[in-house]
Amino acid sequence: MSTISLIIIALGVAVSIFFTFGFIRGVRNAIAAIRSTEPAGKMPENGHWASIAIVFSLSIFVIAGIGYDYRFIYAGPLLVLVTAAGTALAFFIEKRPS
Amino acid sequence: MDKSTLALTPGLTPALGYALMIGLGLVSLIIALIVRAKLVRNTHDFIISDRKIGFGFGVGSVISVWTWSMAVMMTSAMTFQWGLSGLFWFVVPNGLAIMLLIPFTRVLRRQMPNGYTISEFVRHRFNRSNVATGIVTATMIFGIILELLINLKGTSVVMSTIFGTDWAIAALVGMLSVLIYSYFGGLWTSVMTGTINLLMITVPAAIIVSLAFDKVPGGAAAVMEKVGAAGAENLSVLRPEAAAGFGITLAFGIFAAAIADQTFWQKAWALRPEYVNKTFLWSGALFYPIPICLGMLGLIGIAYGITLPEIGGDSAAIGPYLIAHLGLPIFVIVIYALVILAACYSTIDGASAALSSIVAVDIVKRVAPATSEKTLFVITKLSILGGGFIALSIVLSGVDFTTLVLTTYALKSSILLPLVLAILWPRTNTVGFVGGIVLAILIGMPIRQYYGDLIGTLSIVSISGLAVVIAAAFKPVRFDFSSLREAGVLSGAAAPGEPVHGLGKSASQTAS
Repeated sequence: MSTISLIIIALGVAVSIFFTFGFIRGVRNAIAAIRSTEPAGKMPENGHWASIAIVFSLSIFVIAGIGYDYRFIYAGPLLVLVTAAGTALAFFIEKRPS
Repeated sequence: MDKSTLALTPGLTPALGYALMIGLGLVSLIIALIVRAKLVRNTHDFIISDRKIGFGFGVGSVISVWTWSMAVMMTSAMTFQWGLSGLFWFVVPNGLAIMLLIPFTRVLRRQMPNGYTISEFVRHRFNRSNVATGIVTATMIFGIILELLINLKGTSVVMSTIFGTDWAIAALVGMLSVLIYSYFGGLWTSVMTGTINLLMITVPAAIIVSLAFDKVPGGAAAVMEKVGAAGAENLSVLRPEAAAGFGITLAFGIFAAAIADQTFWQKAWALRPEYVNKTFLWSGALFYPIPICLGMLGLIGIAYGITLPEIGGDSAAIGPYLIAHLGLPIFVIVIYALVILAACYSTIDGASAALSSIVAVDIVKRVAPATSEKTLFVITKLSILGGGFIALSIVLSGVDFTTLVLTTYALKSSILLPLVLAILWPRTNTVGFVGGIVLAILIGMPIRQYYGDLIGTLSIVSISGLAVVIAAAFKPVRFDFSSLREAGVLSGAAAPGEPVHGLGKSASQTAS
């Protein structure tokens, strides 16, 4: 097994644990939200156009990069761990309704 | 890199395949039963989760619903067929389509806070026009049925390629496994099982792809050397024939699929308002790595010089074929099968939840507004089973995977611009909306048939958009979007504190 695979497996385990804690927090928040009587929040005005442009450009950079350096092949597996970690992070960012 | 060394890993029996499908369904069923006990009290909770889905479940469920068997298998297939250009044209519009929903969700959720479905919006937007509403409702239902059967087909392709199962039995077992748990919990179950499925897709995908490259003699460097040797164009993202062959059509189709998909609108109205925009931004951004990661398997296919007949003639099978033949340990192959099953199940249950909202809001409460809460709840749940069985019967009749995807997207393309303009342009009127869609189908579809996907899709989009603009010029009207705040077939008619058409919620509770 290659070093990069070992790193990906180790990161995968860490991300899974983080995700599990996030999920548990999310379930607790959902139950609290159902019981909550506080008024709903407000809809933000932000269109997030700059963030969309950055993400869009980054995706092109990563795909094009694979054609220039074979090591970019591992960007996909590493970034997909960011997907799981990012989702877990979203659980911790959300506020628990009182 | 000799492809004669590729051999099916022993021990991959049909029984193991069926066990995985049923096992994943049973685990989800347990979650559904817990969710039903804790979070689902009535139809309102079942179809819209009391508009209280948080940021985490929002992101997790939107990504998992958008991760079709297409994203998992077609990304490898397109890379295998077109090199990095295939990956580029498949991946880039996919994530962007989710993020580009923000301008529309921002308008609709703010202007119509008590909404449930996009057909309901069209009904209020076009002066209760039955034709406009009927077209959109039919398109949504048709799209959902196709979503179900495409993913079902995906499941059967994987299971038959890896485990040698009978594809028809695999489709039957897969559909039953999802329907049983979807039936119990509605949208809450869908977002929670979808989020768990996301974990089952992402972490295993990273490990499997990395281990797959380890199994190739010379690893990633050797693969890329062979891919370049097979054709320098494989290493470029600017291959024009990939753009013309499928890329531009798919880009339009993907955006049309996203905007004309009740699955997303249901979530836009079910999320806590403060997280709606952020959820679609994060979901689009975090979706990108999934198809990029799994698309890498297509490069291994090119490096080995595998031909379509060797994998059964369907390029969608390249990923499953390689994983089953590279000599990976059996547990890795089982995990790969679970990745694709998780993707299929999460999309099917999300689509089923969306279908239930359409049936409750756009059909039952419109046709029979006096329907009691108890009856509505039963019908809503039964609609999930009905949609599933319709999709299953179509799949069992046998259809081509890629053709089906492109046809779906072409049909949805006809509704793309009229719907976009209906949301953003107050001068869009009923004649333009209906005329645009009808003319796009009547003129655009034959053009597509004779001149191919690219010209056909561009014609469909242009005709539909032009019709809306011309109709607006001939019959100038200006829609007052603020009137949508009072809309909502289920919530708007009730006075504060009064039951909302038997949904068990009050108008004051549903107002956000």
